[in-house]
Amino acid sequence: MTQESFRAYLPDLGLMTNAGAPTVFHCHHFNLFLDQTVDDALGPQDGARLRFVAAREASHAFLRALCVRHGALTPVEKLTVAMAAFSAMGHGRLEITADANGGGATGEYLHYGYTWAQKYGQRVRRRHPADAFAAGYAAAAVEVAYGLERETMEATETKCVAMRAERCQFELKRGTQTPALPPVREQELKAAARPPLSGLYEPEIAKIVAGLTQFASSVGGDERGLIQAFGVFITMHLSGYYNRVTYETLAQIEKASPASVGVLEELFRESGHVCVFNTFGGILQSPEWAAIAGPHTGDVTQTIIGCVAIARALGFGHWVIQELAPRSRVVLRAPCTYESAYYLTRHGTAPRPNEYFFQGASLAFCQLAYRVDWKARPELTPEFYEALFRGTMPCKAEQTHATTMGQPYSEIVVTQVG
Amino acid sequence: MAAPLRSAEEEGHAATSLEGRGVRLTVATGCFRGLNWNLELEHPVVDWADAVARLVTAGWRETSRLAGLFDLVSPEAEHHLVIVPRSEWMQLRVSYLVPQSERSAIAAELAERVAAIVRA
Repeated sequence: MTQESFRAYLPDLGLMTNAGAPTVFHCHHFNLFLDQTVDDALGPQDGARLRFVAAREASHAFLRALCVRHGALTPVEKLTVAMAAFSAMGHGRLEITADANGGGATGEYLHYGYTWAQKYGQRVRRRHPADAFAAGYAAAAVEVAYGLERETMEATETKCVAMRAERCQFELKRGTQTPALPPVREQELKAAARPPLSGLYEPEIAKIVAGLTQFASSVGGDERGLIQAFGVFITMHLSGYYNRVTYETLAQIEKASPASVGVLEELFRESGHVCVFNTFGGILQSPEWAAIAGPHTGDVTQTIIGCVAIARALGFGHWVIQELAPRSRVVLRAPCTYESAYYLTRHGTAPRPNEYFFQGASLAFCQLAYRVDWKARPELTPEFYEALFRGTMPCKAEQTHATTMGQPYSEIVVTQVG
Repeated sequence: MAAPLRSAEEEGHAATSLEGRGVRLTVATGCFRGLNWNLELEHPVVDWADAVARLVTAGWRETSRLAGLFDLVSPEAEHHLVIVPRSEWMQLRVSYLVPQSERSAIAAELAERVAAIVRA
């Protein structure tokens, strides 16, 4: 049975699952930015701890379901399934040698450490390991393989390629169980979703989504366990990881330093800018895009249509175009996003709009549509990113409705202000 | 340890071109440091299906997963040639196993071979 067999795309929701676990595609630029945001807010120790705990929790639920679907019974079979899934999802190669009492694991080409070294390694000396996700995944794999209670295995990354080690190494040992949180699985996604929406340009969007999901269904890790596509390194990631680190970081900062909440929210929005600039930009400039949608000319309407289609295909949610007045006003809505389904399940209703990724990505759609000369096939460099997204931007995004606040849809209004 | 990301210009890839031999090769945008190259032929290809058939006869393996796009793997290694007939776009994707310093030379060699087959 291949790893791909257990992937499911939920077209009405624009969401994805793998063995019933909510998943989403994100690139290394987004992944590194989000982790850095968490560490900057909480400090490297507490940030890494939260990232480990979130990874272990999401991975445990995923791996338990995956092993059942594979019919894996013995510890060796289960660890084999876990390690293969890790690579198939683009996270690198993980060799787990621990047993119920602990032990070790070794990582090569781990997505976080490897891409951090690629992106920053020669300019920045990193002082803390980068692979909390792999640590959490390894711990969960051992828990599942040996039938241990969930979230009882600890894992520490002792060597990391991002710190110039030759390969990543982990030490695993038994620990104390953390409190259980409500599960967020496929059924919770469906329960959290509001009635489906339809918007403008649906036939065009649906055609592109069909092409992209067809392509994505065959995407898997190479010999390194990495997915290299559209000019970036892609992961199929457990969205529970992203959501838990985001909302728990916010909750901790709200308690410890309320004055900093606005800055942190802005950084979570910026993760949407980072994602759209790099991944969406790379997709729009790819031969695959040309085959599916035709060469990207840079037409504003076509850019927004394309971005909405990409968002659905990557599993961000069934985003629709409610209004589109080029260079003036764009309104996007969604009955459910990967953020809202998690938040509603785990936290209930929110006091304010809090789908930060949706907010940031929507603004970035307009930045790409209004300010990028696509015909010139621009290099998506850090310098270009800075030019587009730093300082005063001519667009402003506002979340006017939120399913997390009990409303029937989430809505982002992007207006041109300059 | 792997080298950091740098622009194609920094790595000296952007200047690689086979102009004069009917082929223009330019490094594609992205983070992959000289792996992806756009390939333009001086003379347009009239029949892409025929061109692909000739590449297959020459040992390239067709692995397309997407309508409207040919994805061919080179005979000797895992280099890819992606062709979008609709927009006459050809992109060479050199295997990541090729050392960075050799990528532009490999891309140039592949481009010449592809051009010769497609033009034949």
